Amino acid sequence: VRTSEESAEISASEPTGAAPRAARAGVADMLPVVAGLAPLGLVVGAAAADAGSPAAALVAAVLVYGASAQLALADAVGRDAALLATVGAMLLVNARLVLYSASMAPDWRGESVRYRVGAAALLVDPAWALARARYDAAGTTAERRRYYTGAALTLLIGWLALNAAGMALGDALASCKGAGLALPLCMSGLLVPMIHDRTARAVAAAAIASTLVVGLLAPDLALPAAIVGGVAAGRATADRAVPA
Amino acid sequence: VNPWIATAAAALVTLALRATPQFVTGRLVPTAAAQRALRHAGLACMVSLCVTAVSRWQAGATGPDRPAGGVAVVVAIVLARHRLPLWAVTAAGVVAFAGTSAVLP
Repeated sequence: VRTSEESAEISASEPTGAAPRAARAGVADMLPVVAGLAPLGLVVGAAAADAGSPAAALVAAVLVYGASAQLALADAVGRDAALLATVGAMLLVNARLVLYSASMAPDWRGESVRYRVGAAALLVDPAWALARARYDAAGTTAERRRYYTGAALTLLIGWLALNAAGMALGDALASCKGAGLALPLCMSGLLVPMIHDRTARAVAAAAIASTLVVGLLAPDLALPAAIVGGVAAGRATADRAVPA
Repeated sequence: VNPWIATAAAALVTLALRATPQFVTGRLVPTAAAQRALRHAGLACMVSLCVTAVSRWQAGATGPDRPAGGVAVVVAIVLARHRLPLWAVTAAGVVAFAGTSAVLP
């Protein structure tokens, strides 16, 4: 998938205004993702409001900011779990964020501390996927920064709006026929362009196989198994590509 | 636990997980190979979440919706490989789902 920014760069004949254009491209690329997340956002909002204080749930949508973590928090609050158990659940559910943040760290090394903390706070699966693709493509640091900021803020605002709507409407909209399919479709559209070479194909194939096989036996271990399998496959493929 | 205390604790843990690698990765993961492995881990994570999302949707679908969902995902993957914009990929998948679901008995 060619990002909107790449299309804009190709059509543009003058370099002026590249940074604002990059921000607009980030917004344009993230809007379909927000639309794809609509059913999930509504469900998360409804579940969080049911669990306890809607005001706390809305604050959690900003500060915790992630569907699985928000659902885990709502579950913990709803069944009055111990604080330690809540923290443990957050550590498990959000462990993948460490990987996302670590993979962006070399790209953000030259940024201010404030920017790095703020950018990392907005890292979640779709934001990482778009950011990784943009940082791997050609462009200046300012353009990449503007692109990520535009995309990540669009996702945050959209996610908050969806959560608020879910709190107000319940999950009636999310139960519409086929609505839940928008999320996997959107994720597929995000992922396919990232699988562009032999190593990435090996990583993806190993992750799919690990998820399906381990998911049958122990669903909770499917994600860690996919990460281990993907990294091992990537390493093996890269090693074979380098002559001894 | 009080919802506000639970929210504050969850927020602190999440921010720590997100922000800490920004300040330690350079020291802990100095080599290009290790950084490549981190990218592979991120990609594998996304792939796994996508496969799980598709599986969960398929498990909840009934009648013609189930094969129609498979067709929609295949359409989305094919179009994404042809470098179409994300909004077009998602829209085409939804249209493919609706069309296939309506046609199948």
